[in-house]
Amino acid sequence: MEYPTAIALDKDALRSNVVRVTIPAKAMFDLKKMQKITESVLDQLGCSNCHSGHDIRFDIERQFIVDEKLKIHSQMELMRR
Amino acid sequence: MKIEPLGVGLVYIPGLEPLFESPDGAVQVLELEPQVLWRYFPNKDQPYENQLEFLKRLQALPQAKTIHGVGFPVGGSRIPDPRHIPPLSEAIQTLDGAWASEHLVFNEAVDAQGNSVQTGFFLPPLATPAGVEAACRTIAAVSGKLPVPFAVETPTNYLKPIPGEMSDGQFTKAVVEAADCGILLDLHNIWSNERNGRQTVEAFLSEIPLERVYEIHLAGGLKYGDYWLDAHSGDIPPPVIEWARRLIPHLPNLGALVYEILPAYLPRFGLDGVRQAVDQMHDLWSCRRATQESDSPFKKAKPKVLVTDNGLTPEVWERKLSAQILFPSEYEGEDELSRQLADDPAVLLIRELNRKFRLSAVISNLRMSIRLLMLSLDEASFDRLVADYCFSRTPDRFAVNEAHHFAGYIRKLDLEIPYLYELLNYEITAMDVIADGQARSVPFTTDPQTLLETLGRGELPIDLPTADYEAEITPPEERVFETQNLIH
Repeated sequence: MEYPTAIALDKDALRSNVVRVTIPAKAMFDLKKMQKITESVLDQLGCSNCHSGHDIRFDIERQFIVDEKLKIHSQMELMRR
Repeated sequence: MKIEPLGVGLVYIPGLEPLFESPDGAVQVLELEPQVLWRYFPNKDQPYENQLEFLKRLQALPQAKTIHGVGFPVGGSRIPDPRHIPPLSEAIQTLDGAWASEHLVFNEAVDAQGNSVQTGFFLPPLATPAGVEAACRTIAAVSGKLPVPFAVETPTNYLKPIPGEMSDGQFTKAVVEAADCGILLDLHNIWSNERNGRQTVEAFLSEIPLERVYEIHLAGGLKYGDYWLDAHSGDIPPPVIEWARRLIPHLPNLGALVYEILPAYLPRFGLDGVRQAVDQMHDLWSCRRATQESDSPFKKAKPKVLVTDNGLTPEVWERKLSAQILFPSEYEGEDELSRQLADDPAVLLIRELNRKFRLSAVISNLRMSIRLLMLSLDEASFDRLVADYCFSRTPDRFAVNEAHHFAGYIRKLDLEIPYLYELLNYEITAMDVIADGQARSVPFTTDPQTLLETLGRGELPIDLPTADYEAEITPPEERVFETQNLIH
């Protein structure tokens, strides 16, 4: 037995409050502050192209976070003075 | 097998297009690593798929093409998944590749329970007569199905030599002669091996059949602790250039000199740096001689006497070495080989490099989720989480799978980090959108644009207004060379 009406109405009511936005699958928000990063979707999903060396993508990300944390910390210090 | 001399070239990576399109024609060869561009659909009968339109655009470039495999190496006892052969052949035919190559290493093994595991890192094969036989069987299973000549690449090996193994040069010679294939001589690898305590470049070159060298790879590396890494990070070290200068006049069948750099290093090295490497290679290419001297100019080292059969089979070697890399706590001290490997500092190095490879593969797809985790957790907690993940699951050669596995692991942890799971859902769904080009929608409890921009600034999203959002994730526009995205 179906209860389509009530459920559909609720869903419709809920949907009317939902804000619909469009965002790209390849969001570039994260790259605006990172210096000189070559970004490509081509090699994003396939095999990594070197497996006996040193992949620095994680190191780059960690350095970015460390720098930003330090910046925010120093800004807070300035505000306290 | 006579190889056509093609000239000087580059391994294709995004960002190098201006050099391939340069009207001066300095880059004569484009080497493609087809697996890097493959789409992976694990539930399909044929899970590997070329991006044919992109291959056709590469084909239209004026360079001669060569094909270099990076995902299914041929140095071990495991025959690589045969389903990779049709798309590999398709790439060779679409690009009209002159020859194909793969690495003389292994990246798959069978664990103690009989399960197939991927190692996530290129590991050296067992250098004994039994290892030679195994590699030859594997090479034949691949090269016999390809429409072009085949060469194997000489690898880096960070491990200390083990008792009873052949020298690297002896092993390479035995394999390529028995398999009747060519050599892709990576001179930076051989020089790195010498720096890291293995055979000298001189001795290696004295042992290999020089007439089988179809191609030379040149690259830069870097010092990392006590090791020199095959990092593909920029400048070709001067001693490697000098070895190439000595060697090239004695290579009667040399088809190409090819420079390699990893995409992550290109922004700091720059196109000018790559162009300089191309010029260096032209200088080296001019060292070829019309008639070759028959004798090798390299001094043979004192022949290495094999201790006798060390009793190892390639299968046991592959299982124990991969176990040391993947499951160290289960195998320490179990037997002589495991003890020796556990005492080798290179095993620790490989574990660390492997962890970084895996995390980098995850970051390439789940950058914002990782960033939120790193902003929310202290460094030690984040590192512990990553280490636990790496020990909980063996690696996967496809970044898409590694990202899915990591997302699954994080979901099970049920962390109380605001927005983490909706962000994860967005990025995982975005991977599907990129893979099949179909738009999809995901819910957010705050404005996703604000959330992503906050994280983009490297800030923790705090006190964002709550509201129901539905974000339609749209596929990226098809990439064209002219609009390639280099952020400065």
